[in-house]
Amino acid sequence: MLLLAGCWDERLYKDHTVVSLVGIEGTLGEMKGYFAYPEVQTGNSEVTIIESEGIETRELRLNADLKVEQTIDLSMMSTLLISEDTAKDGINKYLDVFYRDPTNSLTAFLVLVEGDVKDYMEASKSWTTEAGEYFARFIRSKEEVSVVPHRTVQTASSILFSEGIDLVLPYMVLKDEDKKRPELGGVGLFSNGKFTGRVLEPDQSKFLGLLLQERGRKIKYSALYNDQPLSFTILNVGKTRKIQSPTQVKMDYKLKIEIEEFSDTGLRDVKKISEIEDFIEEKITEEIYNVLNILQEEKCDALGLGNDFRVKKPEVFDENWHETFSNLDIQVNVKAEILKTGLIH
Amino acid sequence: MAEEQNPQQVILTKLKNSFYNSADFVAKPISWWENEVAILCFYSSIVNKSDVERIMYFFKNNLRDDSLYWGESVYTTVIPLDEKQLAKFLCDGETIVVRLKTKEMIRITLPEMAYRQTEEPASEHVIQGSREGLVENFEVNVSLIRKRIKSHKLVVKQKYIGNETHTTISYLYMEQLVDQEALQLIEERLDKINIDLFYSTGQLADYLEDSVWSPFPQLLKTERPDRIIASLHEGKIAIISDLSTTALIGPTSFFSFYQTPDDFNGRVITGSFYRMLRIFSFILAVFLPAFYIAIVSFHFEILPLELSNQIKSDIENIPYRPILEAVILEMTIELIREASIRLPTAVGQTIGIVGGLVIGDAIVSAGLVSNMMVIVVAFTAIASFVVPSTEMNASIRFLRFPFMILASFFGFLGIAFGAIILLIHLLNLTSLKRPYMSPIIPFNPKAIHKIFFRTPFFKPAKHPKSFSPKEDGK
Amino acid sequence: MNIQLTRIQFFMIMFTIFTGFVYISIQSPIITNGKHASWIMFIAASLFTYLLFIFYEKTYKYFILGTVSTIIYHLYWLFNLSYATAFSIYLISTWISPYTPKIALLCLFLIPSLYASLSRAETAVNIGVVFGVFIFFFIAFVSSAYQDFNYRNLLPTTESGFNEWMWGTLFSLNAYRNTECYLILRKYVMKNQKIAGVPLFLFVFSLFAMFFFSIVMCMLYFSTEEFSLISEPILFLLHAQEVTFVKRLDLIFAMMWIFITIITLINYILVVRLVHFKKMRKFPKTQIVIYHVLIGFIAYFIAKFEYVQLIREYYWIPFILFGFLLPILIILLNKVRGRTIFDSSNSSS
Repeated sequence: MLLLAGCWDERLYKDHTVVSLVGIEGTLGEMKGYFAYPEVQTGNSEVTIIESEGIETRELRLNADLKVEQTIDLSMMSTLLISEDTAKDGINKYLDVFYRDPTNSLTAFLVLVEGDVKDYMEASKSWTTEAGEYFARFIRSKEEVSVVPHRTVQTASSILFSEGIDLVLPYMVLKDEDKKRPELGGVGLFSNGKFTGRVLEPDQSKFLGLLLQERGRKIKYSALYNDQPLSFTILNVGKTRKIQSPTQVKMDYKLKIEIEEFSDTGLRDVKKISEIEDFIEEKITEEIYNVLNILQEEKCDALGLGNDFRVKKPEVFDENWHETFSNLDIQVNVKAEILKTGLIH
Repeated sequence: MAEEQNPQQVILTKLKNSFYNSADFVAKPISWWENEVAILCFYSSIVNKSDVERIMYFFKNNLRDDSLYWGESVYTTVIPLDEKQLAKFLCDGETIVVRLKTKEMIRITLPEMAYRQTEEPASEHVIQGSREGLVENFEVNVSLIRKRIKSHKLVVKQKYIGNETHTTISYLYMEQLVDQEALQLIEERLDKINIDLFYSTGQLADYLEDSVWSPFPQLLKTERPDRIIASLHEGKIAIISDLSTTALIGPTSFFSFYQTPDDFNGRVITGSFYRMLRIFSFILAVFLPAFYIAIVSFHFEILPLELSNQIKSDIENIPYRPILEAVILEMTIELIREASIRLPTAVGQTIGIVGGLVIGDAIVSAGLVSNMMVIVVAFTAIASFVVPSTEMNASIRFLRFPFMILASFFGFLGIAFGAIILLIHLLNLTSLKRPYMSPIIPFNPKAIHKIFFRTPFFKPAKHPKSFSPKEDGK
Repeated sequence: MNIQLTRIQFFMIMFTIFTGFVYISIQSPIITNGKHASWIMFIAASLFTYLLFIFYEKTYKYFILGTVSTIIYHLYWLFNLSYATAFSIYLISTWISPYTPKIALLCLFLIPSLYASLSRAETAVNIGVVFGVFIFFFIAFVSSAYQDFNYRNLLPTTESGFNEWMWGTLFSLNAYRNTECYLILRKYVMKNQKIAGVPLFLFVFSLFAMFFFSIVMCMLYFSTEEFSLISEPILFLLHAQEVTFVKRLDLIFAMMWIFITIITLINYILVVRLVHFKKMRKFPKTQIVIYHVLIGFIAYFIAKFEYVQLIREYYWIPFILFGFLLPILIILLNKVRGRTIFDSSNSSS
């Protein structure tokens, strides 16, 4: 009995291929999928990549199954790479299969990639870490410094379903010559569930991070102050949003700042601190306006202002919200406060 | 000479015949006071002969039967001759002097049965505290207990069990504290026992327990007098016999199997910590292998990626399904355990090393089982040996097999199913008609902390009571 | 059958009966219907229920089940239990074991319940204790999602009109759908135990807190539009969590929930037993077996997506009908007649 045991739902781990990185490209009807999994050979594992074609996401996996001796299993997927083309088509319909199947991982990161997905998959062969985990760690470390917001399959879907907020996803590029090290190209902007094609550069996207203000994140920024290098960390952001009229929003940000680098020794002078604070305020306000302009141009309400309007000015929030958003008059007021200056004055 | 055969010769022959001429049976005529002949009989193997001799000397020289209560003393008593009882008395190790003239028996109760000196119980070691253990002797055992409870409320009652063996069973309780219903139940059940041979407390437990087919022991077995007196003080009843060093204590609750005198000898905080550790070890010992089997054969997606890769590379080339792998290992451990108990201590250790190190290493490198499984099984084994009671520990080791099989059939679903069946069973279980899971069931929020914490001694001002009979168990 | 309950035991049984089946699926219909103001509706519904409980506490002695009402309740209970079982196995087959046949799942559910129902009544009375452990884990698990909470989801908007309010409140009341069990079990509580006042408030409040916590957590985590897609938001929420040692908390929770469901089944059947065998000292075991087979039989047929979904849409009715209108009718009727349970139990014995 013990020998024959095997019940209806048994999925023996040793008979399953655990895929950690999945890439999809193309649009419905004509899709390509890539599945990376480690093949274990006495001690060291080697990444194998399976390529398959199909008309939709689920079929990709079924077709990929035909090429592996075990069953492909996506429960350990930690990153999903999506090509630009697919994202421009609206990503919700491609993600459905990931929500529906209970064994799938909802905590996988979504990453947009420039160019062929295949290149990114191939690049994973040269890394020592697990293919999917590499991307996951990559994104996680960037989340720490607010360059990219926290977007997994689940949180992305939450945003996609909500009408009052738009999605932004990390965007990666492969620039180096032998195509081995993907780097962060910035943050891809979505409008109404579709990728706009516009990407915020990393040094802009950290201000998007500031605007979104997720807990526990730090924002590092460097500038030149009177030709002296000035680096600082934003430790804490306090924000208030006020909807003043159907077309005007006022956002106040209170920043707590720690100086990281400032070669001018003038900080001993307490009066100078307020000068630096003013400088930082000005600099950041400028950057924030830049980001907001781009968001409004692309009609990407990444801040979720729509949700605020739905509550406070429901008459403005309708199907044309994205149009309304792009014409909003958004005013930003930044207040900086230097809390610490490091070990020296 | 034949016509000279006097009555005492007839009786002597008859006596010897009725004792089948046993080699150690002595029966001989002696002279008793003037002109009187008496018959002295005893089993030479179980009588303290020198003391008997001294008493008889004293009788012959100093006493006459015209004084009142002439035959009564600490060791002696005089009753009318009764042949049936005579055999019983002799078997109990008494020396009998039969006065033919008055048809009286003088009983001299000075048996000398073999018994060990009291020593530390091997199955219930403690780090600190009393090292006395019960022995195979009733008097010594009771004295070990009396020494700890110097109160006249401590009652000792006796019963004889076994039609042939005539074994003495005694049950002890504290008057006024004792759970009366349970006491009645014990008496009823002891009276009902009707067997010829009685030689172990295991037999007794079978007669006294509420459900014999349950894997859980419902009477606490202990060899430690300090544990017995603690239980007596909680209104429980202890049963000791002349044959074994084990005492049975009831009614008992599941959690008392997880307590040891060490908890109370040590500090409050450390005592509480180890108590919690033991409860946790129960969960570990019963569920861990099942949990592992469920994960690798049903729900591997529950593992985080990094851990999962380790496990995956480990189990990739194992030819068997996880349940079989687990059974192989569990059986190995059970075999090693069983073998090392039966062998002398010195050899037992060797078995442990051979079994644990050699087989453990070889079985993995041969690719029969995975490293992960070895870790899981070894962990479980250690967790199961934490239980202070050897009986409970065997129950727990047995319990994990059904769970492993259920897990291999249905995964987590099977474990949940098994767990609820186990829970219902534990709730159904009673020890002398008292709920086994007390104080969780019936739920007593005020006592529940006692499962996990050992409270300081000065705290409980009220008398500790382990059961509140009114609430449950009708 | 006769049992004596302490106050704690009474509340424990009630707590399991109320939260058991209901808990996992109640949030979705409330939030889809009530939108952003759902939590306010739920508070309103809970206040109403509290008043109802106070009323029941005052009048429970008039709640005598006649022949007709007993039959009505028996039918309802049979259906309710079958539906709960069907829903549970449907849920398990979608979340945990998609290929295990229904009949096996039914066995896994009904065998423990049968075992407990055939045992001493005290077993069923006390089994709810394990619930407490699960609540602790549950709160810890769900709270781990705090990073993804969106507090703006809680702000009520004007979009909730009369329609939303009506349906949202009706479905909120449904959380307390097993109120009639209170009336039935109340008379078994020991006479010297005080229920009215603070204990009752604490009980209703803890029930409310349990439900409210889950509703608020779900609202914080998901956007309202998502609820039309997700039927078991709690499981989904846990599904999306990743703790360092476990990736799928939902599996663990689902396992606990199976545990709780079976316990609820046992407690509910206890109520049924109490009503059905109230005049007997010993109860015939074959009837219990037949009852379980019946539940299994009905559950087998309604455990399909179509039926489960259909019944769910109409599942605001039970509270209104069996938890509210019918008991009040019975109570009023008997009050007019001046009969109490104490008279009737005396006359029957």
